[in-house]
Amino acid sequence: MAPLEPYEKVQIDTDFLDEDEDVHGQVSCEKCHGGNPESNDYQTAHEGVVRDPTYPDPSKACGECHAIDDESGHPKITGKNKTNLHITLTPFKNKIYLRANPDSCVRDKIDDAMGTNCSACHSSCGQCHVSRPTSVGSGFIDGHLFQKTPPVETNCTSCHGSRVGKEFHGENEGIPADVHHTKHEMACKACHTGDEMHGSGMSKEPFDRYGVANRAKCEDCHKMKGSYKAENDMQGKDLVHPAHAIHQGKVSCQVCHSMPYKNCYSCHVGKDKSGAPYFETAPSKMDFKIGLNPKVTEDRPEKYVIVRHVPVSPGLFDFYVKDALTNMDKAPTWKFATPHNIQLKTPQNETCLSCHGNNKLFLTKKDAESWEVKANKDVFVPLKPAPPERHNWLEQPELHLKKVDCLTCHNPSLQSPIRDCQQCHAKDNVLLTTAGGTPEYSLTNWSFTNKELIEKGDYVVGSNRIPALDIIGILLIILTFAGCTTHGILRFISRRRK
Amino acid sequence: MDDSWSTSGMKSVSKLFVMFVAIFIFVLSNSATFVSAEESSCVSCHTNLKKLVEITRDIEASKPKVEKPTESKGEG
Repeated sequence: MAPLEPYEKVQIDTDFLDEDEDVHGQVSCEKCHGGNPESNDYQTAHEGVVRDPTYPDPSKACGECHAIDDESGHPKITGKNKTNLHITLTPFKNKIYLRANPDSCVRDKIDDAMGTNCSACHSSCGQCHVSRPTSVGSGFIDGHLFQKTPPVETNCTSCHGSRVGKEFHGENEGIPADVHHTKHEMACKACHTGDEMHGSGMSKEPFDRYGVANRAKCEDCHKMKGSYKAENDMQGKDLVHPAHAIHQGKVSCQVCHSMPYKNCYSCHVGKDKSGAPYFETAPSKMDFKIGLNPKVTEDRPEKYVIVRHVPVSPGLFDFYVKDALTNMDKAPTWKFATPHNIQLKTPQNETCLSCHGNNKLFLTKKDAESWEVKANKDVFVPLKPAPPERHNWLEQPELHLKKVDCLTCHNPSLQSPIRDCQQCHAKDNVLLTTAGGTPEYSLTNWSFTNKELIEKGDYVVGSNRIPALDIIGILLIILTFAGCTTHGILRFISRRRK
Repeated sequence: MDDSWSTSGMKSVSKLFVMFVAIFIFVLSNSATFVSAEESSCVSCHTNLKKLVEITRDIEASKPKVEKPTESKGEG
């Protein structure tokens, strides 16, 4: 995002004064911003000026029109301000307080540090709809004209750029952009609606951003088979892939559909000689880790989720106070994440065995430093034996794993996976009706429906029992006998004539 | 008869035109846009590119010289 010249930041477009262009321009400047509009000296004119009259409380500047739903069509917005996490930053504070030293003197110093280094990263009505956020240099988006939808570059990724922005736009080397961006040209607003951005309006703020009732969810558009049709269902297509039936409710969508994402480590904040805040973080790393869901809820029931390392470390506030975060064990440093680089096909969902048994994808103690092992104990995945070992009850586990499609035995339509050899190796086996997890294929079909599976190298029971081949074989035998018999009869007749 | 009719007609049209112009000026002069643009120094200054460049340049020049702030390292 290109920085603005000082004059560009405050230049008002005359269109703003045109009622047809922006009704907000009909309100006199001083009504919102204060100051002295009669003075021609910039210093006296700016006495008492409020740059952002919408922060922290927008009820005066915006509330006159935007407080309640009315007939004019103004949505109820300012009333939800207290639950707008972009303004309150409550989840962020919650996580710090969870880890903080309970001593009140230390807490005060932490508050001071957060006030200097962290609290500036908030937004407000004005910092989304009129200007760039103060934390990224401020300046009008478009000459003070109000933007119904905040522009992505200046007002979304200017703050959410290092991780979400780069992931979504494919700016991490070797990682493609999110399919919602490349294929469907969707911007942030497509999922993160104004309703969500303006706050949940709940009586109590959620502990973290994933607790927001009206947050964006994959299921808002992508409904699972058998689930009710979402109110704003935009795709309307059932997700009928057998992997969905197997993993639904157990594995978060991102586990299968996200690509490697950025993980940040070790942050230290401080102030320089002039009092300006600064921070230092260790180099970030692109990685992909599946962890256990540390907080299973009705809304987030999955056992396995994607986890991202957050840039917290015991020495975060050392500049301000030593031993600030004495309770690092209280919250995981690998936290629930929803990377924004979704792909239909990913390295981990290529085949079942791309993920199952691929231990490097799972978060274990090895991925944590000694000080964070206890904090992440509920997130580490206890590794299971490798697939051949888990299938060693089979006669030839390696052969089965190599040749038999996993879904043949782990068919989601069956109540439990096939463990009895006879279920496959018998005349009336279940595989004659289903194969490869594709119930629409019947092995007794007259057409060569097995061809596709055999070409993939899968072992398909009944593949040599294609009825057409059987009938052709029987016909050949009958014809051979018939030919021999005819030949014999003809020779017999011809000899008698001689 | 015809001449007198056309003369009185012309007079009526003229009166209507004058009234229309008067109303137009009255409405325009009382519109919020006009008022704010004319009377508010905020608008006259913040819409004037030349003034803004000069003032912002003066403000920058009048700021006390400070050492270059410590730059943050890493990704925030």
